[in-house]
Amino acid sequence: MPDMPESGSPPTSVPPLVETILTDEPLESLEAFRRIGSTSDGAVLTFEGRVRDHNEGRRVSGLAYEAYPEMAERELRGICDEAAVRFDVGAIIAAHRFGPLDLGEVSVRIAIAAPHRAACYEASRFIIEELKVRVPVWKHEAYADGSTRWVGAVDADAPRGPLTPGAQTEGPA
Amino acid sequence: MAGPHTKAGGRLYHREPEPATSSADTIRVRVLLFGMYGEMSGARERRVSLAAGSRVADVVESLRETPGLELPEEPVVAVNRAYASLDVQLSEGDEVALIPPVAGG
Repeated sequence: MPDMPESGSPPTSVPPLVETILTDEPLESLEAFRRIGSTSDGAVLTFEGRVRDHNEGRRVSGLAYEAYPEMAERELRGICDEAAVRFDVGAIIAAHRFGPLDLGEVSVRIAIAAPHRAACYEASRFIIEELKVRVPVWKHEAYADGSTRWVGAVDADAPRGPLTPGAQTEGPA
Repeated sequence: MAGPHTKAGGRLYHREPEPATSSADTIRVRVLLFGMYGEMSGARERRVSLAAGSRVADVVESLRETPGLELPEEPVVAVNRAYASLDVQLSEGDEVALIPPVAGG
């Protein structure tokens, strides 16, 4: 990432605020996301993962996420804390939903506030990619033909190479 | 809600009370089976008694006898809610989770 002339630390260095949420309630209405960031943050970026109506060529009718709640919370927290150290951000909120979800509903939501946009994009991508590798959450899909399946680790959206060169992942090998 | 999923008390997974204390030469651990492992074995949680000094790998070997449960050669495991190696030695009351391929996001 080339240095941009306007980048740099804010006048007073405050540690980034990190909040993680694991819930079976809808993420769309979470109040925490509305008040992210401070007047030092010139950029706010939100990523949402939503329940898609198809997967690997099959028509999906609904799904449920099973979580190992205590560990999922801990792993998600660890990923966000790592992002807070790695990138120049002011605040991070990451939420994952579990339980049954309808098509189109939000399953994961990540918001980053930062002085400048580059750190928002980098931190957001880092968190979602690490989440998919490390956070113990499982997807049980139901299909239009009446069958169901536990979804494996095959991820069509995963990047081809290492996202951040030299990154150390503590998750399952 | 489409599909066969229903909320049971808002959670898909429930805790059970702690097991009674075991004798000195055996330990008891709580084993959690998530996702496809839970479905294959028909139970998401169980108690396993082991000789003192047993390792995670010993729990995995005992689980291989469960009808219907197919585990990889070296399944991913967590001990007390952190990823752990199969070599980790277990203590009374430890929580051992078998982690099938995760699929969050």
